[in-house]
Amino acid sequence: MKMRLFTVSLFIASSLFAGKPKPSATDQYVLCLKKVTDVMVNDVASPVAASRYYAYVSLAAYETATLYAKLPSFKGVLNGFNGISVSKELLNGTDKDLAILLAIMKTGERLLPSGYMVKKDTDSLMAAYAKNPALNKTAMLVDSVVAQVMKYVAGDGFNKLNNMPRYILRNGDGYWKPTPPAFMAPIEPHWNSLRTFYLDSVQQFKPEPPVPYDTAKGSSFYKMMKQVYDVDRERDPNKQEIASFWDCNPFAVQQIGHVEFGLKKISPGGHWVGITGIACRLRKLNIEQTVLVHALVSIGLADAFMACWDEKYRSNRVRPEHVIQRLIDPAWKPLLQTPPFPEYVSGHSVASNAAAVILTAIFGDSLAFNDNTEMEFGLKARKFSSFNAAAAEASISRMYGGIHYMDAIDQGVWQGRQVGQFMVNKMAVHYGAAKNSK
Amino acid sequence: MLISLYLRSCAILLLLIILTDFNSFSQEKTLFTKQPSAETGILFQNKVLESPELNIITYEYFFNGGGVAAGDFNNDGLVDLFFTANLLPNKLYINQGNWKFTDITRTSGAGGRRGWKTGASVADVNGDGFLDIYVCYSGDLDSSHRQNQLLINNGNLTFTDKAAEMGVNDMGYSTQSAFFDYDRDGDLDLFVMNHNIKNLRNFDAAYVKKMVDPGAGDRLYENREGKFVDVTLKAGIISNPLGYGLGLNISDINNDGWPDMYVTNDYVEEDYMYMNNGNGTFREVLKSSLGHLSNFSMGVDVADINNDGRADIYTLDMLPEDNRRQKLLYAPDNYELYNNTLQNGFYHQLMRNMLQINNGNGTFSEIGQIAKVSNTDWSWSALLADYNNDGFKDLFVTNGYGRDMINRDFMKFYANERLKHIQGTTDDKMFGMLQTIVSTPLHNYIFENVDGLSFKDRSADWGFGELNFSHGAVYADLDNDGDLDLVVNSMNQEAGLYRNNTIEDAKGGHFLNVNLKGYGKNTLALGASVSVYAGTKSYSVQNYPVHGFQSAMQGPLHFGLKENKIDSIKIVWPDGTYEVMRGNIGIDKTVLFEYKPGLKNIPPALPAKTLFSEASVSLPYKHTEDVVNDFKIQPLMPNMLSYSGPRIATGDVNGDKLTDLYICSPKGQKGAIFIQLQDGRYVESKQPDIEADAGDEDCGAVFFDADKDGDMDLYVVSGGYAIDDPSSLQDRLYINEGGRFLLKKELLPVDNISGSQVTVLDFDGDGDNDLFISGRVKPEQYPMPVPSMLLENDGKGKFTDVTSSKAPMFNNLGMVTDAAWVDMNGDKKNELIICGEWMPLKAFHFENGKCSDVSEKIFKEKLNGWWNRMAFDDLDGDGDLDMVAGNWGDNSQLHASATQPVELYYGDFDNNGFIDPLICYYIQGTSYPMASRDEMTDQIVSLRQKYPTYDSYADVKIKDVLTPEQLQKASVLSVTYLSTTWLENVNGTYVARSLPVQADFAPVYAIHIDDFNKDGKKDILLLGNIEQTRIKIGKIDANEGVVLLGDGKGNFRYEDQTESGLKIGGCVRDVKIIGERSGKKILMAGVNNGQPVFINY
Repeated sequence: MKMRLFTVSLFIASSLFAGKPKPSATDQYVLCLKKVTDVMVNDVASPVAASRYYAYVSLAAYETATLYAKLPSFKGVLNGFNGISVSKELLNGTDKDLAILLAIMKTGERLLPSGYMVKKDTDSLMAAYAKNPALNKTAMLVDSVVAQVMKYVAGDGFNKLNNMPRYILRNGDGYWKPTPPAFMAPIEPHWNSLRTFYLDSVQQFKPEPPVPYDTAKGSSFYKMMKQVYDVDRERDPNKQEIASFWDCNPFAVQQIGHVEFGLKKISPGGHWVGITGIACRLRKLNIEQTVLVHALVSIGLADAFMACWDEKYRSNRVRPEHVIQRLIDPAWKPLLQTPPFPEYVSGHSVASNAAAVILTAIFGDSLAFNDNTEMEFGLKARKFSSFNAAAAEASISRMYGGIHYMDAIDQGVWQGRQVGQFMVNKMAVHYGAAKNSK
Repeated sequence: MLISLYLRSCAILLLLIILTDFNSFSQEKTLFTKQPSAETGILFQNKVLESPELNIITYEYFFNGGGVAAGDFNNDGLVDLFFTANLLPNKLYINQGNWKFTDITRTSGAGGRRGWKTGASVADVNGDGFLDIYVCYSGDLDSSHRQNQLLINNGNLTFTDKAAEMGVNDMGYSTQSAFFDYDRDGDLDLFVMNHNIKNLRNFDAAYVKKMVDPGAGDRLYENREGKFVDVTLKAGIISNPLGYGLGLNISDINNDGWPDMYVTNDYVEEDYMYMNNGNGTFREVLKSSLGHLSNFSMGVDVADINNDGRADIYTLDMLPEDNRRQKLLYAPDNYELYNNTLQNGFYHQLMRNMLQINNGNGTFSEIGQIAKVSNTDWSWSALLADYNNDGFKDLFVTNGYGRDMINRDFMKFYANERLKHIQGTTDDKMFGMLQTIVSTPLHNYIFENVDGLSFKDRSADWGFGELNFSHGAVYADLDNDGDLDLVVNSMNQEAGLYRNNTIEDAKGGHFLNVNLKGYGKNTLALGASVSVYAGTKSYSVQNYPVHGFQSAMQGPLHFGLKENKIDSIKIVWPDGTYEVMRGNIGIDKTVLFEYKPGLKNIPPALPAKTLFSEASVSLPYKHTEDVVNDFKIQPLMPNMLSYSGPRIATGDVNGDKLTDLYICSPKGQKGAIFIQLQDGRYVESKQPDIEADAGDEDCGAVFFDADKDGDMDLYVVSGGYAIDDPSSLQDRLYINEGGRFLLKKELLPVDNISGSQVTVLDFDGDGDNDLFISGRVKPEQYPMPVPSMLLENDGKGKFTDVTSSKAPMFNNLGMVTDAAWVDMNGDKKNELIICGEWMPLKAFHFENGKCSDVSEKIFKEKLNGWWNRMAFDDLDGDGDLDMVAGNWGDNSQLHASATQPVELYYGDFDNNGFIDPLICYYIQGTSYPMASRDEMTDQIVSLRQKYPTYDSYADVKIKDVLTPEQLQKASVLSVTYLSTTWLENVNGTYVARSLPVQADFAPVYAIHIDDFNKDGKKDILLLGNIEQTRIKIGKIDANEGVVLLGDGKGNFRYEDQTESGLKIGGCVRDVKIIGERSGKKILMAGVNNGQPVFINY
């Protein structure tokens, strides 16, 4: 609750920066990012779309930070990224913290469908800094940075997605079909055509093929499917709480007769960005470190989702909801609403484990934290002893929720960890900076 | 002084003008005038207030409103009124005459119980000569509160509930009921229509359809000596949990004398059309009778709207008339959901009102959009009756819904936002959220039936401009003056009594009111059918009281008449006997007919001798489409182009003087040559070269002599829209070598054009056969213009592409669908006439082998259409070639004229290398983009920032969507003429002439001209339909083979389907004569993705 109140009061009047105890730059960073998250939630950004937004927003913020401090740029490290260059003249007389914050907001404005909503927050941020003599120059600098980042964005293939063929259903009971209640077309079938940030290719860490579809009672597939059903039937409150906590469904469609609306939550990526913020504040990182850690996690999440989506539309596997209804109980409904895309591998498992590996590399494997990210959606905070513990729970939660089979979780965990570890190995310099610059 | 005088006189003048205007306005009395409640005494209101416990979320039919029942309860000759209120007591008013009513609810005992009251029916259930009332109950209450009531009239204006005693205290969630004698045993049985109160949309359909649900399932009760027995399942009535029954009508739909039933269902469950088997059971025939139906079906009425003696069906849905509400409320096309529904065994259902014209052959043609009665927003009562006494039944529609539950912004943005900020229990939160949903009152619609098949919106000038939420309604002649008044039950507003002024104001027309006295317990002869004959006209009405939403009326049967005398009246009594009254019956009065025992049974109708008969032809072929969805490639195209076949080519391949044929086949199926044998069978000829090309999509073909060796060679045009391999677009020439057709690649130029057809011509007059190949579409780049080709024959069968040198204008012709080489001006030189999509009809002339565009000379007007096909013949007997051109027709949301064109703006607006095709069409006088907000922002992603909400997009026009620079850059195509038409050849110029409206019931893709009725005059056969369209456009399937008989002078009349004998379903794409047997020509109609149809004449 505290967290929520704090969030709401951000930017309310310039008093925030006038006299009253000023939140630290790190706090402000986290709060700015939350503002962008709120607009993503409003816009119903899909899990993949959200991960892409986070990556670019935090990249812009981080590259801004590199203009001021001795921090390694992502130039030449991220695929196709040639860095940011600004003249000394432009940099002179600007405010570092403000520049970083503005970079988040202004990139969000440009990227998000409801960028105009971000703009309102940008305006109040600017108003809060109205008395700062560096305001105008800083805004000019950030505009230049954002323009350069947007050029990088323009080359990632996103603007071609909407004209690629829409998904065509495959014939066969083992293949994915649209799921109740909205029977939406599957989300982003061509996401694997986007430029990866640091993976060599989306197929670099290709999961094992899924357990073959087989309705025979003794088959591995049947057993896995039955496991989903049996776990659901347990009605174990602890498992149900875990499933709900990690639901992270950006748009759960509610239908009551003709009344139809979506209940919104943050995406899996949004949740882990939230955890990243918690960790940075817990360890009292300075703003440079905070920006870098966020950039690493966000970029890792983005590539994790690309790798995962590549597999989803390769295997195109049917969701438990369809199979259980047909083979066991025609009236069965999963605890969580089935998200609108193929089953294999579990996206939450990939994302969570990639993020956990990245965070563990920075903070170690024993940072206990209280995860209150989902409180604003009415879910109780949960305590975790480590990032890996949280990721393990997030992964298994998808089976508890009735939306994934076990092999999709196991292979998702594997893929996520590979994607995370590859980054840790590839960006040793950045990890060093994140750990040491304190 | 002067100036001030001047000013003063100006002011006075202005005042005078205003006063005059005002006076003329107020004197312009509308056809109906609302009677003030202070005078009528009818103060009834259906007051419905939302609370946290009772609202649209706790009970989903919370906003459905109440009903009206009209009938003469005290037998004083005046129709009385009964209103149901959902929450408050029902009200009974006795008509005192002169538009005065007395509320006798308290003394009558007709106010009902506590509970949620819905529909009301009237009938003399116990046969004592007094009208009784049956009241339905529903609501999220326990079953004891949902017992329906049967209020038996004690004869003294008091009523006693005998529902339990008589066995009809049905405890389902009831919407409406109907009494009728389904087994014709002389007493009244009862059908109760129920609805589910739970949201059932995530389910396994086959499983749920088999269930029987006591709450939601409909029920049929048989009257056995005054006790009612549940015969639901025995009688074949569907009673599953998917029943969301909203509309109910009993009528004899198939004219066999037995009462049939039409039940509408909300949501995914189809409506039920029950045909009475005459043995105590019904058969449900909806899917075999209708091509498609309303999706969220609400009210229904059944009546003969075109005076052909057959019952037509009109169902209501929720499609708004105006663009803004369409954009705010309409979900984007979801092919996944649509296909999922079909695969689950449900049927084609589209969200709009459907007008199903009874073809008299067991099928119906849906023409709601050409009749212009398809969009009346969220609608409840439909009442078909002749309100202006001109002989045609007009249409009154009530509408309105308490809150815009399906507002897209609410769904995507506001609901979540509101819930976040409202504190309290779940119920409180939901309630709080609900209160923020917009509430939009609407005006009711009234349409004048102009000629039986077209309607004119008269809502404003007939007195229905008021905005409200209206539900149940009845028509009744409350003042016995001979015109029908209207009574409407509205939510949170006094009931409306609308007095019809047709007679008072002598607006013309006559009437006849007919009362019937029945037999046995069926005292009012429910189920009788009355026809009035006057001159060549006949008018028919069936005697069933349930019409309008949750409403019923028992009064004299009303006939409006244009004629000032009638010749005879025919009454078919409920037991199947009949009588005809001739002589001086008179008009402008009420007459009574009494049943007499001993009348003869009406003889069954003899099958008419038809122009066409089904031909038994042995030709084993089925066209099998490879299933693709073109909208997955370009989501904003209007129609799919991958379903264009089969075309058929005919010719004598083996020189035996019998017609053989080639059937064009889709990708994945081999094209097939069929050889006609002497015994009339057609056998497929094995052709390895043709089989090898099965991967190509055949779009057109022709048999012709390419190499001047005297036999028929075969040219096949390759095409298609969703192309994997561009080399599959290469056309093929198969040279006939003694019956073997051999592919000769070297004889054709390389081409990568997706074509539509091939025309043989000798453009250079050198005596050999040259070819014109039409280009149809640039695959995946609709609607980019595509080249057509002129191929010159070297005399030995080798063809060279000479387009650029001889006819460079063909390089950029557009999307051509058909072409013909005809001498239309009698100069012994042929012209090439072509047509296409988004194109005018065009003509080209060749002089010395060079081509020139003579379109302006040959066609009087530039007729831009969605043309599909052409045929040429002398239709008016003046010796020159006239023309018939098949177009899109007028039975869709798209209507076009020179001043209100359908337009297509295209270009790569977001610079991502793909074409963005943006269609715009006129709605209520303004042109708007067709695409919904999501469809538009998915096509041009940058627009997501411009239109973050549905509201921000709801009013935009194309000039708002595109920047001035984009607009400048955009290419624009335009359509001004969508009618299928015939063009008269007037001294070498084609002049468009109109055809009967049936020609425009559906897109026309096949035309055959001949003298079908052997009167020496040319007639026209039109075939077509389309299924693969955007969901928003929807399946158009109202053409079952339209026969237009010519009088030899250029006038055509539509031949009824029962007389033409045609009932050709599916999407026909070509028609050809393929032979002759016993003096009859055999026609083959190629049906897309199905068996061909063979008919003869």
